[in-house]
Amino acid sequence: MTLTIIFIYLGIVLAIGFLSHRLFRNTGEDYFVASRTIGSFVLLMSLFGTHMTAFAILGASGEAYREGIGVFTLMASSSALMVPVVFFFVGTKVWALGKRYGYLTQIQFFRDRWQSGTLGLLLFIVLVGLLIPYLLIGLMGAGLTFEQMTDGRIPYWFGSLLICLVILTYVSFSGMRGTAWVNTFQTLVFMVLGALTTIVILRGHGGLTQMLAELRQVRPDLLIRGDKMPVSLVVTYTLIPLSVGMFPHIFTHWLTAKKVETFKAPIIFYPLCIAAVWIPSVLLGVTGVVDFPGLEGPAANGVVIMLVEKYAPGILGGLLAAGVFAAIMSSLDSQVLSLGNMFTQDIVRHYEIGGKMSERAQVWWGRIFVFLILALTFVLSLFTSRGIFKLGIWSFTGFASLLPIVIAALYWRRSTKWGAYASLVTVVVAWLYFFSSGSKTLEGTQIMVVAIILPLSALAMVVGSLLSKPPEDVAKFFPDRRR
Amino acid sequence: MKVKKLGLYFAVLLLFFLHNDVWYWFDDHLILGLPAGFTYHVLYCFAVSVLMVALVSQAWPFPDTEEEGS
Repeated sequence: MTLTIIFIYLGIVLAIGFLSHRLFRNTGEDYFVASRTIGSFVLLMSLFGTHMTAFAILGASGEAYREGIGVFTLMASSSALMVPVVFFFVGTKVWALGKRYGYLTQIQFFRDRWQSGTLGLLLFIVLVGLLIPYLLIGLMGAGLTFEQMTDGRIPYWFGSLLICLVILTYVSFSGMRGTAWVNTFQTLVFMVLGALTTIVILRGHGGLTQMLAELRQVRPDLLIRGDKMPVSLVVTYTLIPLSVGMFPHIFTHWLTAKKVETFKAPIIFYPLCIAAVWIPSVLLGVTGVVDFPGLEGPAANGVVIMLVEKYAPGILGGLLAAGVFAAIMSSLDSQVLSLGNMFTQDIVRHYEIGGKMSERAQVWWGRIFVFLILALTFVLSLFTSRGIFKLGIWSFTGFASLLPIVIAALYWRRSTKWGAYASLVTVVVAWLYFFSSGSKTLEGTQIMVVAIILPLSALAMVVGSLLSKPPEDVAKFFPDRRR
Repeated sequence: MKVKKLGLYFAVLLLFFLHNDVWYWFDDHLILGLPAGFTYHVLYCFAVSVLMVALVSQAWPFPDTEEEGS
């Protein structure tokens, strides 16, 4: 039953991808940014779906199993504020400049803003370097979920390969429009199924009040943040969602909006979407403590699957699996497409490898890179240890720390490419330093290292800019917006 | 108009600080059926949404009907 539902779900995803192909215009702008025609609802769903990974369902419940209700404070409500704020202050301006000057990638924007091809190349390397682990985590998560939910009938490698093939098909066929439509469907799936799963499981448990009363008996510490989650950790963790300001795949989705007003609904409803997904995940995680006490380490990440098997196997198990794959694929497809976009536009087209590129050629290069990136990630997923999952937070730390570059690009006329260079180098050096130390918090404290790297990056931007000659010809990036 | 915008930006900053509900940090009693710290942050998400409505309606940095770049 589980397998049947999973395959039906994947079939629907492919069908949506094929349907959207009927609108495909075979131009680079259409393939990579859907010709900037995406409306409010699809933009909200595709942004949210892209941002939420399997972590929002499986990982969040695993964390809640270990840490309690405080996980909602740490990871959900912080994003509920920071992400729409970034959309408001950064996303809208990026869209406006992208529409005006035809940018298809972040690097095109930064190269033009800072008038530096080399800076663009360095940023490209760093952004791709930070995104690859994120891709790997998604694909490995897909393979592990297949294996676990089918009790090993579908081995890890086959599950990962199947997801790669499905993504390759609809992304190749219809590019960003197909991706946005599929993401909309997938986001609705994992939101609805998360709520449904929670209701069924809690009812099977005797209700929410009953579950919380039992939790109070066995692990009352999970009902509070307390000493295990100090305020310093929560305050500094709030900086992690700022990473959304420099994610290549989010940047690309911003560029797809039909008009700037398209951003209004995503900005308003994003916090509610976050609540809709994370409330069930956290509740299921703590419910798991009552039913399956003593799960150690990564075993807790499977607690939702165990709850489903106990309270509603069969159809619900299949639907939950579909929800998990929806969350995984809605991120993977955008990440893969944005990388394909970056290689095509920022390397092949920028350096005119093979000569000037026609619209058709852009699309084909994009498809080739999507294939190559998926193939490479699949091969890497076969040999990478599961410790890679810890890389997720490091990836977000890196992206968040790069935020001063885009903020300065959009808001500070006096900023220069040397400030951007200084900021980038500072982030790379500081990130490598802390990464090699092995701890995501400052030693002896509960302060996330992003709280150190981000201010250093901002300082480097300011100092580097002020010590260098003021830029010329930046007026086009600062149109008059007096109301 | 500028005062209104600044006021809303200040509200964003205020919400950032209000994210740290130290008064509920060790409180395990139930509010609306959930632990106090959980309920607070669920309602926090709704408060953010309300603030975003105010931001987009009162502090939108673009003219109302312009299609940028067209």
